Amino acid sequence: MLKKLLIAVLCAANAFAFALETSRIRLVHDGKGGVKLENLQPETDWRHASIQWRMTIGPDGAPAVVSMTPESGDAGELRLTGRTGKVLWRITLRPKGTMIEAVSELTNLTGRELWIEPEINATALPAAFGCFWDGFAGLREIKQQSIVRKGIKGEQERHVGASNMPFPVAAAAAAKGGVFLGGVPFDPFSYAAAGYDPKEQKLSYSIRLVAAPGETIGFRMTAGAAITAYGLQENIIQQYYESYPECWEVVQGQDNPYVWGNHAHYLNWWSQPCAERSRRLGITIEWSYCPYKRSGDMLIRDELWDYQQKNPFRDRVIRFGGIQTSFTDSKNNNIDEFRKLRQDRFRELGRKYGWMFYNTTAGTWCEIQLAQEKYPDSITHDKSVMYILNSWSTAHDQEIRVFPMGTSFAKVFEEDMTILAKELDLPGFALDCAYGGAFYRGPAVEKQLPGRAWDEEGKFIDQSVAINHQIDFIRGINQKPDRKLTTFINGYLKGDYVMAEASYLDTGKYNRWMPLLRWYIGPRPGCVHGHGYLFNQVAPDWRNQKPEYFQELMPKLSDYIIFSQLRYGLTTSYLTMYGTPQQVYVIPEILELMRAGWQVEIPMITEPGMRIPFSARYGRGVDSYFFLGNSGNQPVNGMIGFDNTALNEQGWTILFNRKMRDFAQIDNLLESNFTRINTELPSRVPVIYEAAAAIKKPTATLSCRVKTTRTLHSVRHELAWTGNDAFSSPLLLRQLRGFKLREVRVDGKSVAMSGGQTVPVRIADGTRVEIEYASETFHVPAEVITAFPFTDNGGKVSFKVMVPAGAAQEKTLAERFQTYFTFCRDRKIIVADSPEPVIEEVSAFNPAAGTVSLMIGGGTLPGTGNVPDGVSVSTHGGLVVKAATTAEADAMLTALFNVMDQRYEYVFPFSWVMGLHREVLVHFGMFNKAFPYQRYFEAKQ
Amino acid sequence: MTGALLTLTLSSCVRTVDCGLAHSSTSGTPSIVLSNRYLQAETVPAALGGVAGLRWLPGNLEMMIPFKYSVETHDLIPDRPSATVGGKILIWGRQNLMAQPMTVTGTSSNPEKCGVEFVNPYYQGTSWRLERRIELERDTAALVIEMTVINTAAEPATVTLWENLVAQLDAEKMDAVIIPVRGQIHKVGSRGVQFFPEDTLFIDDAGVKTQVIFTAPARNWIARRNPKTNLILALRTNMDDLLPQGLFYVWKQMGGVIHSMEIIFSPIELAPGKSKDYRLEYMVFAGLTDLKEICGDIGINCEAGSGTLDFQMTAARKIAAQSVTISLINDTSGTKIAAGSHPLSVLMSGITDEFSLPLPTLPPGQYHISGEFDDGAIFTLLSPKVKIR
Repeated sequence: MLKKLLIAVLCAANAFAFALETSRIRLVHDGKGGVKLENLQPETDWRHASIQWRMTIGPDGAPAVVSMTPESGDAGELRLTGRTGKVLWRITLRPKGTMIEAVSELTNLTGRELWIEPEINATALPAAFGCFWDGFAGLREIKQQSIVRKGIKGEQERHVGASNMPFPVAAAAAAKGGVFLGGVPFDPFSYAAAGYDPKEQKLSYSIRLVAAPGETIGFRMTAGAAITAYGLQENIIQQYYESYPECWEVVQGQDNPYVWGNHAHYLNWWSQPCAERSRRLGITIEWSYCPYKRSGDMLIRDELWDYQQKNPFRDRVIRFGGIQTSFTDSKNNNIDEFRKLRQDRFRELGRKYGWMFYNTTAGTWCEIQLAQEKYPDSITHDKSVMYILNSWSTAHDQEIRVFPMGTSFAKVFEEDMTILAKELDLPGFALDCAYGGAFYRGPAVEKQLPGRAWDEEGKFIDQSVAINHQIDFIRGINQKPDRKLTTFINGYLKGDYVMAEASYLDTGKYNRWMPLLRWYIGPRPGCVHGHGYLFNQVAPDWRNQKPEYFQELMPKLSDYIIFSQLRYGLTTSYLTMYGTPQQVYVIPEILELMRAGWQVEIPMITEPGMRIPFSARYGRGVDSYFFLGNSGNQPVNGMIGFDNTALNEQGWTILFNRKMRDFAQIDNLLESNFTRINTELPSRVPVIYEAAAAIKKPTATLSCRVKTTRTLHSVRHELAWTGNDAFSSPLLLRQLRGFKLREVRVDGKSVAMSGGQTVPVRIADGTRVEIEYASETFHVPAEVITAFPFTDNGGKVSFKVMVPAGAAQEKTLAERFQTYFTFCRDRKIIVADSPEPVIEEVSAFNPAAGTVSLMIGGGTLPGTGNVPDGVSVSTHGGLVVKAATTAEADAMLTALFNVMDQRYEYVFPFSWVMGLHREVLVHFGMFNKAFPYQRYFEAKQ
Repeated sequence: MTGALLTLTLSSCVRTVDCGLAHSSTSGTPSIVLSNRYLQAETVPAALGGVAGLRWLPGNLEMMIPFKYSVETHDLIPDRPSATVGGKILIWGRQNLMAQPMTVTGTSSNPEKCGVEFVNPYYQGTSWRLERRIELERDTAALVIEMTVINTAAEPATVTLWENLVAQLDAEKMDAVIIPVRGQIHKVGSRGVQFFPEDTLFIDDAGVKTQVIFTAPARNWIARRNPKTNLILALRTNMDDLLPQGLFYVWKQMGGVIHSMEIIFSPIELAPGKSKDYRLEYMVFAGLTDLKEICGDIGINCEAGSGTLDFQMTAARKIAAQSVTISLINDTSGTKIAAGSHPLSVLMSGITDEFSLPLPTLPPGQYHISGEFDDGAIFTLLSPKVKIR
């Protein structure tokens, strides 16, 4: 993103004036100590505000303004220094995305500990400001009284025993726009306050810190200007996503093998994992629950194994991928056997199925006697939230809340994770209850740990600071980029893949949690984890109903889940996929959008009267997507417009098309800053629009028809311009994952490209632009693959896989073909007496018809030098799969199998799962049956 | 007898009031209100026929958590009613439906008794038919709830009913829950329970920092108290239905006031078509500051003072005048030593007989306090105990 930055340093008559500017806001120092914010947005109802810094020395002091002196202003930064008798406060102001960031260093100048509350505030705001946002979900009306939100504890979540937390901002707004101040999400702070004083017309944001004698503490604050056109809160949070993308980055990025898929929801933990089932259901990650005996002893130490339980509350069973063990009898209660089983299973299956090791509830619960005996300094004595856990997590014994940072427990916890990551070759950790709202006030709070705060009860650190610290620790265990450990969290803190622990049909929880939880998850991938259809709750009188009821209800529930996935950018699991193949059908689109990154602000206008209950937006700029869901019974038609100024800061006007798997075309009307299209939203069909390309539009209104033809191995956009005066513009082009941009032609002539865009091209009435992409994996269309003779007319496997002689990796990968067809045979997709595909080791490349040649590394067999990496077909009709690395070959086979599924389709039937019991399926005669589905992302059905 | 005091907490102890039944609404949904002289109980058919309100009329004190009912509508899913209701029966181990409707199959009202009957053929979405009857009798401070559960499945099945009572005597400060617990029990069935060295009354108040507690019941009641009121609200059932695997269960809102007192009945297997009856009473003992035992309909408080045993006794139903004889039973030898008798007045709600008996000279040891009424009813307190060194 282009950050517009203007720096003006004016030195005249000893005045020091300085300005920092983003696309939305300018911060001006007038040279006399005054700092002003100027709103640069054209449509707004405020222009100026004065910025002040204040300091409270607690616990009894009053806020006092700190006079800030400019120290220097160069390299796009303004450095200010303020001093009281007790603290030195240095602030470096700089543009950060669309906001101004204030990076502070506070030094305690005294010889005693200080409790301090630094504050940023904006004064001289317009009297028209009528609403205030304190960081929680709702907006509050500004009346005559001051409004203050103190601290970070929000509504308690009963199961978790902690609370939600406000987004770290304070904002006030009038009809068109507002101002906001805040902190940075996931930064280590335990107390923040947000307030608005209508008498002084002052907005304030502060945090509380504890500084040891001489200690310097760093923290960050922000200031910005918001518009309300698409929601005040949404606009502010969107600015955070764009200004602080690093807060929501995922380890290993788009190449992370675990986070861009569906959650197994114990399918691969409680039962024997099935590679083909996982692939067909898009499963890439698993929540490997409590793989140890005592909470707090993940490593399993000899001396801690046998002990007298204080208060066990259930018999404990662990299933390591279907192999069950327990601690209730002497046969199973053997430490060596348990360790061996765990290590063997994790090493065999952990990385393959994304088993995230459940780390004793993010290190916040420890078996009670263990904590009291070994880690008494670590106990979190916050009695306002759950303190002793008597119903989970291990069920093996009672647990007590502990604090995993700077304590004796934290030391062991970190050592254990480091050892386990190596010994078990873990892909990552599962951090349950990643919530704040439990305050630690134990001995470690005397240490100079991050996030120390204070209140009327003394010093404390919130649990969220410790959990975020642990996520950073986990990310640092393995240093190699492709081995960095993934964190799967249940909550709203840092992490790479985020679980919302409720079925979509648990509407009460979603009403309570959203949108705050979703704001925190941000563009990260995630899933839901709940009891699927919750059929008993959704349809409690089902026993009175006939099969027609089920036939009508279930597709609706399934559509609700599909629409909810797209609304929230979170996936579902097999619990709702079985029996409703529509949910399996939409997996590719849902995962593609999740990869693009959910965005909070939906800059879309609709024609009056259009009812679109479900909508979402993903991606930015020329990678934007919009989802629209009409859940009503009747189609909804009308003009909609996407606001290009909100989709990118660089002035591009984006051309959209309906996202379809084969063909789509739509007329784009480029008017003012909007791309308008006439949409047709069928009942209960998700409609997705995606960007095709972008131009720099002249002032005039333009019209362009976008046609997109998509096959397995190519994507082609055709932009047909009609009725417009000639203009010149570069074309901004998308980078499609798995494809390379092959050529752009304007009226048949190839144009030069650089940096993802073309040189400026002349576009006039009748101009035709063609943009062509070629797959990096597939060099043949899907029809060639589905027509390949994997099986003969009798439904028996009739091909063999050729691998270079002695090539172990190829041979192992070739076995995936056997796994594929074993699954097909077991599910009656092919005949029961079909043989497995034969794997043949060869020393010469002979891609004859009926063979699949599998090669890794290139050139391993004579004559393969010119064979491109990817999936191709030889002149003799043999299928060739060639990749540079084993990982690439593995991914290639997964992609190939996904194509083969079109021929060897398997519809997962209804089966007894959590939330949909067997008795329901039997009652309605649907056990082991499934509903049909629509191929609604294909024009040619 | 060292002292006796008859406390009248009603302005007119001779006036009686007819029972009454009225149709009303609460939180936007119809309700049925039963009332007598002491209690007004509001029950809501749309929310499990639950007890949404229970008001102690002499003190105008609402004892149930505030009732809320709403219906959420969506295009693609059936209307989703939800309810927060104080007293309701659930099925342990099943996802809870707090707002499942019950059909009203009958109401009755006469001066002596009023009541309402409900049924749902598939209670909580299961194959269990539940019939529920709520009754209030003249001049009693007890709401009676009777239930019949019937297996409508074709196979034998096991059900565990669960009385999920969330009441409050004070909306601002958490009540303490009085739990008669069995000692030396680690597990009930497969469920681990809070361990206690001996049978006792466990007081779960805001100072106890365990949010969820399961205990093995030593009595057929669980109760709550709050220093702001002189009321005890007790939940009583039949001991037979708590054995062998019944539980008391409490959940409290850390930092808040919500504190449930719940009974998880012993699981019962029933053949197809077979039924099982249950009975619950929400009993109010006015004038007691604490509760140590319920004997018949008499609520008993007792403190072992300095050289005395100090009693408070009242009743949820009218009890004729009679005497009570107090004894002390040595824990080790079983020896019974008389402590004295006290002539009780007529006991009824609002009339509390407070009396003290001198502690007799006792050999060293630990003693249970026991009592016997003229009508033959006997009690032995779990707490307090008298310890002589």
